[in-house]
Amino acid sequence: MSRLRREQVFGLLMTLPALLLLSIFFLYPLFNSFWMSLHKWPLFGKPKWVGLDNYVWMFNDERFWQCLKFTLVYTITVTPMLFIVAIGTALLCNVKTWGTTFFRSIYFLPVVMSFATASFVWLWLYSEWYGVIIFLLKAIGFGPEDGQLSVWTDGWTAMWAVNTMVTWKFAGIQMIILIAGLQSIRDDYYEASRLMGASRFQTIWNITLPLLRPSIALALILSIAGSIQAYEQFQIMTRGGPMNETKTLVMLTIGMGFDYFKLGPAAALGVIIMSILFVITIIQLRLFRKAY
Amino acid sequence: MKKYSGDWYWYYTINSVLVILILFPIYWTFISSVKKPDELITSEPTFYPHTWTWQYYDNIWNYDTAVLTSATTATNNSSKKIHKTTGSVTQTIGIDDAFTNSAIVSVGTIIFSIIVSTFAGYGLTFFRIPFKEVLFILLITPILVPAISLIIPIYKLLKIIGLTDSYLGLIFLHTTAMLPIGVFMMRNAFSSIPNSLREVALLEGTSELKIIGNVMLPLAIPGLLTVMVFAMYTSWNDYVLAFLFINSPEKTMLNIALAKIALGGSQFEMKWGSLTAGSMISFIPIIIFYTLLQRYFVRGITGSAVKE
Amino acid sequence: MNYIIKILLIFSAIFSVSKTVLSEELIIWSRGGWSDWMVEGFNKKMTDEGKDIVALNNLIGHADFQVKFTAALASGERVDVANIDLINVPYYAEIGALEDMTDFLKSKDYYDKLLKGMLALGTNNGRHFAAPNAADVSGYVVNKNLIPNPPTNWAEMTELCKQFAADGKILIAWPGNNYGGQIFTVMPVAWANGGSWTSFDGSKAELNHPKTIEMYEHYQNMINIGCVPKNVSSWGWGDKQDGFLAGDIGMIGTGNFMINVVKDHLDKVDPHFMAFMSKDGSTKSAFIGGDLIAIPATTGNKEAALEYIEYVLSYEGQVEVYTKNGGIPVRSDLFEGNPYLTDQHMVFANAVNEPAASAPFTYVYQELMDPWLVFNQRIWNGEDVKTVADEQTAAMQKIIDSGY
Repeated sequence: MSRLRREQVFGLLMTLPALLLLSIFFLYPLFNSFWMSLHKWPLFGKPKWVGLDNYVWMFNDERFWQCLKFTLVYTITVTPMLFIVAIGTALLCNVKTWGTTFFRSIYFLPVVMSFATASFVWLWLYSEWYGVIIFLLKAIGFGPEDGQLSVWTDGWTAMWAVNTMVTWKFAGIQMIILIAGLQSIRDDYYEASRLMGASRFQTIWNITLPLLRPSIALALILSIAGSIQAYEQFQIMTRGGPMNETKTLVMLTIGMGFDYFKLGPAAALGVIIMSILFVITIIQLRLFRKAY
Repeated sequence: MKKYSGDWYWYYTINSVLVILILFPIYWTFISSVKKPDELITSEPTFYPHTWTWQYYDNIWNYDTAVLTSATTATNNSSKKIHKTTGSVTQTIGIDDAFTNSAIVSVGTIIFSIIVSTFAGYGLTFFRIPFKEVLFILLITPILVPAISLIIPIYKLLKIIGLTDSYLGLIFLHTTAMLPIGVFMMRNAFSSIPNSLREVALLEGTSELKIIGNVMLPLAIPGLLTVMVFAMYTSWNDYVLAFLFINSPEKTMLNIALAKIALGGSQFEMKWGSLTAGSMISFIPIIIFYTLLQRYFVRGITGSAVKE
Repeated sequence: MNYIIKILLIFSAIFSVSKTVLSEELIIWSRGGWSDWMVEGFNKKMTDEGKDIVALNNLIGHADFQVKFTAALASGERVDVANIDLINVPYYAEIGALEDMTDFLKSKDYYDKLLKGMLALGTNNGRHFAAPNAADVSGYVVNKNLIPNPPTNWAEMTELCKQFAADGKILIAWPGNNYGGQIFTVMPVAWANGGSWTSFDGSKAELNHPKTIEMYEHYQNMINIGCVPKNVSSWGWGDKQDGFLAGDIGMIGTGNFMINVVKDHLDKVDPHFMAFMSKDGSTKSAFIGGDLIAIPATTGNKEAALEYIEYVLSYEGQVEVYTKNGGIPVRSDLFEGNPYLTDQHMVFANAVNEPAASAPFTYVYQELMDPWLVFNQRIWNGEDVKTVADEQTAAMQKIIDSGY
């Protein structure tokens, strides 16, 4: 066997476990789901081929568009929030001084908490009667005089309430990604900019950020992928309310499959979500590659 | 690294404020888990506990689920007893069992993730595999798909393989979920090791396996530890998969057991005390895990094992 | 070499824990905490009778039971006995997911004493596919510390409302953003008044029944007077319950489980339970909710499963296990002389026998929850009741017509 051949085989063998796991536990269910989406699939009994009917039905259902709109609005609002906090703390923690590691590890702490736990914790904080955040807001003077202040009444405030929780939870990991990127920027650049008399802001804007592009891209792709797939935070905190204003696409998928027992359309919705995400990710990669 | 000259004041102020803001919810959860019910359920919350009680933790600790009973009515808090005439076993399942179950699955996920990710990352870095880029992208795709939408196909699959209601099934699923991160990290880690190192070792006649074990892995330790933390995070914190694919009470995972205790009773109750106590119980092990390993994070993500 | 052995040991530990089910083991999926004692009692009885049946209880809990059960059914997972929320049973029965138990039930001498409302939900084309198991009955709970004279009709409620509004206090609150909570504790007031949610067979949506509209106007009026929080449409179940237990709310709709819950808060609350009432207070009603017990088609041992159900419906199961732990028996012949039914329990038990008490029969419960919730929230937000009722009834009808 030629040397190249041996290398190829050996390499493939090394990746085999990963590929096996991927194929069995991910690709197979994925294709299965795609197959299901082309059928009317009752809980019991024989599935019936319906081709693209489920997709057509889904696109004609106004629930789909409502959830799509909300999911996009949520993504567009939470991503900058996350990013700003992340880049801010990343720049702060890039300083080589006493306490930096300590601060960094604190900012990352919320990340390791489970999403469900974090949702419950913040649900408790926001609790209209006993939540400390409501208490503080009232103390500052928010809220009507007869006392009831709730963030869950209005879809818009509910979303921002959840956004705050998500930012608290995930800014840490974005921060780490950005710090990793920051650390790979060579000091010469900063030297040069200091010699040229640039202010700190100018340095950040013209040198740091552009050089940080790959890390920013990574952080954004992960963030957006996660936001489009949002489920637990809204399921636990708002249950889609008020009046389904905060229902996300994945929530609709689960509801379609497990509450309404329409497995075919649920699978179709899953495929649709995936396609949307796929397209968005490709667009992002293209944008970043071009600028880079 | 940038150096701020003369802004120590700003630096420490901003950081301190941020630390307080970020730690506050965790602090609040903790004190909520130790306040007595009437201090907890009140419209005037207190910022440090005036009363102190361990009752929520006690409640969780002593919560048990009798699985089977023999003819002798079982008393609680007893460990396994085998009743002679019928051969049925008396078991009480407590939180410590749920804890152990989660620990087993997490450790299993960590081990599998490390093995699979290391080999894949290594292979993708140093070997000229056909369609290397395609394979890499394929391995990253799971982050684009919400696992929840694949539940029914996965369930059917597990049934066919016979892995429903088993630790191994859950471990496999968690490891698959970890593939994108794991392979990405390890490939990064190995990429930053100059190829020359490997070539030299090969020329000297060392076997590939030895190279990995003695040379590569030690250099990739930050990446490895990062994979470990993420694997622990994915597995320990998982709720949906653990809920759906584990049926027997003796294999219940910690998150599920805690949720049951807090949301149990009637359909509509939410016991804040038990909920916050359960959150702490679930949170603390992973904090410990993370604290021990967190200094390797940044290096793990950059993959810079070899300093320039 | 050493670490290879360690790895193999770990593997074998992991492998060895997947087990297969023996045929005389019964797999039971339950939703409530008392199920453990039920299973324990059953196993003891089996041993006493020398029968080789052992039941394994799998307590899944209320919150996600639906998802897990559906996934199990869809993949053919073996479940011998399942306790299902009664509102979902019509669908399962209709698609053939449950075993027929008509003959079994009819052979019992207490057959006609089984709670009719519950049994009806497990019936499809005259055949029974599920039996009543555990009843969750709704009613009002009034804090006599705040309301020394609980209202007996709507006019009295409105009077109290004016008093409370003048004092800036909350008379009553309900979970405006919780669809299950509202159908449990708000809709029955309309039923008492003569309204209905859907027609008896579930084929027609009837939210815009005039009597229902009347009731909703009554509640909306109370919001306008000011004794109900203006933002009640976003209140969750916990909000109103916590508020009541803290002594801040005069009365709330709740269920019989509250009898046990309120015991921890007696310093703030002096509880008085009563049924939902019509406008003049003469007709009472309740939502008869809870679980039905059924044998899924994926069972491995139907005979043994029937044995278990027999135990659940027996005196021992219903009284010694279930009522003792705070439940209401599902057999009306067990109301009399039941040592564990206190007066408070009897309020709920009697409500069950009221002709207006019921639970809606529908194949598409979850989907209907959407327009139902919107219906409620729009009214609590102040829109005209009749308009909203007409629009949402049409929405509900559309869903019913498009089938399952």
